[in-house]
Amino acid sequence: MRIIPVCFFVIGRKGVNVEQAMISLKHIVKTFSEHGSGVHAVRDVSLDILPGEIFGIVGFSGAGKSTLVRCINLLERPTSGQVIVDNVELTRLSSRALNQERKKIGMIFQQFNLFATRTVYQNVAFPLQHTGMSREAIHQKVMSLLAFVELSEKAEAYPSQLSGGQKQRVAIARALASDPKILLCDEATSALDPQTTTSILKLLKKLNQELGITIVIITHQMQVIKEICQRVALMEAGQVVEQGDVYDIFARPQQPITRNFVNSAGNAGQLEELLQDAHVLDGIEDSARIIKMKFLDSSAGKALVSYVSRTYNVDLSIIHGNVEMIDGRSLGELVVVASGEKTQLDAAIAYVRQCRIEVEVLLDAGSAE
Amino acid sequence: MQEVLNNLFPYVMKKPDQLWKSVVETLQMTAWAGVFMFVFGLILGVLLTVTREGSILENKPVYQVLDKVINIFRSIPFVILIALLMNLTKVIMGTRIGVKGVIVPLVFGSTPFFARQVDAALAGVDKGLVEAAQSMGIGPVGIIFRVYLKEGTAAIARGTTITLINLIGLTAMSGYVGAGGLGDYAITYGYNYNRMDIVWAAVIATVLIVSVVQGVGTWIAKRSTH
Repeated sequence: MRIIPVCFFVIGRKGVNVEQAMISLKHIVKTFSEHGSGVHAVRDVSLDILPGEIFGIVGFSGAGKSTLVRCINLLERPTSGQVIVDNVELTRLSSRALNQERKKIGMIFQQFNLFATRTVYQNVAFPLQHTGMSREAIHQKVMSLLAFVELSEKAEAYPSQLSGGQKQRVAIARALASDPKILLCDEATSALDPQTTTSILKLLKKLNQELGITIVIITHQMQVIKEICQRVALMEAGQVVEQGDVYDIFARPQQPITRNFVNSAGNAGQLEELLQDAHVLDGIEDSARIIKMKFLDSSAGKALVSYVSRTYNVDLSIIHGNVEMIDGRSLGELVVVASGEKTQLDAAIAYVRQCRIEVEVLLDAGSAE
Repeated sequence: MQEVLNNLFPYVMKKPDQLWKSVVETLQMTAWAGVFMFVFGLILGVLLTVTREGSILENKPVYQVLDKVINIFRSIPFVILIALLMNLTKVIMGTRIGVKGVIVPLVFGSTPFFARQVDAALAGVDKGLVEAAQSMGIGPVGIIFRVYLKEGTAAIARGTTITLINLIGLTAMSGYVGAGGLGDYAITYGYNYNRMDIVWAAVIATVLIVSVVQGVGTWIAKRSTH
């Protein structure tokens, strides 16, 4: 009898193991029963969100991401599954104990949800009132929060007098009032224009870095994920179809829906349109190939194009190029039309691959015939 | 002035005290019944809202019973309600006649309507606000007082105005149990003797009272809207 050694490697990001997760969702199922027929909003989702990270959940509307995020603070009680936040299993708590734990989890919304009959000051003070905190202590806390979100001068204004971005800042200040460890953002920038979105994202990043708050962002805008998230999960039809570091997802999207979202955040979508346009291909020689190269991290720095052209005697004409910074790392993309002798082209591509650059032949005019 | 009034309202001016007494009775009935209606109606309206399916204290049996009882009382005409409740009135107030005798039926007649008004007012409070408060760990009591009632103040003020004006209408029927009031004044001294000036005086007094109620209601609603 042979003994087969079996090894399990559990490697978390930055060496943090799963037990230290800030938020741990285990086999979450949420079914809404409507007139007998069940609507499966979330189907068996398990996720671990680490302390101090900005985690994105992206998907089209109806994918179940809003329901999933509401399962974290139990605004929606999962049909089955466990929710563990900061080592406390929320799904087991009494409603009183749950309300205590909820103070650790701030939440902001697409529609801001500010109290219209209360001033900015009173909105921010809302979670602090009736908690035994003194009036002066509340005043100090509120004013420092308003200073943090740069809205001190609007303390006595009513929400109706504020712009969308200002409303969301007030909502963030209010969510921070009880010193949460986690901030849940439900489409928090979806009702804002691009500039305001950027300023809100900056604010979120600031509170992540300065206060160490773990942030979970629900969005359908891949741009938002690209700008501030470190890890992302993609949801479709109630399930997580792909998850990982944002950089990896952008560099090597696996699922069709992921590619779709990744394309939506850059101008790669335009490239596909370009390739479908017959005119572009008109001038291409019979043996030419259209090649997409992906430069990960620092590889973008090399003088690759001119080197390959010289060494292998092939002509490279650039039709698309783009470099992006994602989570502090560069991700470059170059699409060229390469023409030359077949063997030389093969050798050139082999060389590029050798340089750890991902090569995808989008079109091979030589093999088409 | 006195001359003009004597010419326009000859019978009213003969016994002006009668008109004044009727006004006071109408105000007394409206005020007393109004206070109880407001308290009970607010409680029932809040209960309807919070026990409804999907709400913060969802409770099907409580909601169903409340819903049905309110519908039953709303469908009984007020005059019949006076008769129906006469024994209860006697137990509670010690009498079934006079201003005292009509308060109980007035409360029963107006509270269900007001409960519906409160329910409708609270339905207008954005669900997102309730969700936001829940996410902050605010319990049901906090949500009722600090979110529903505070944010629904303007709508509740408008509902109260409508109900009070209805209530003033109901008080006109209290002559049946000898409670007096402007309705009784118009029928007993005006209609029965064919004295139109008395009917007109009752109309003008009622319109004035209703206008004041409406004015105060609108003012409160406006003040609590930002």
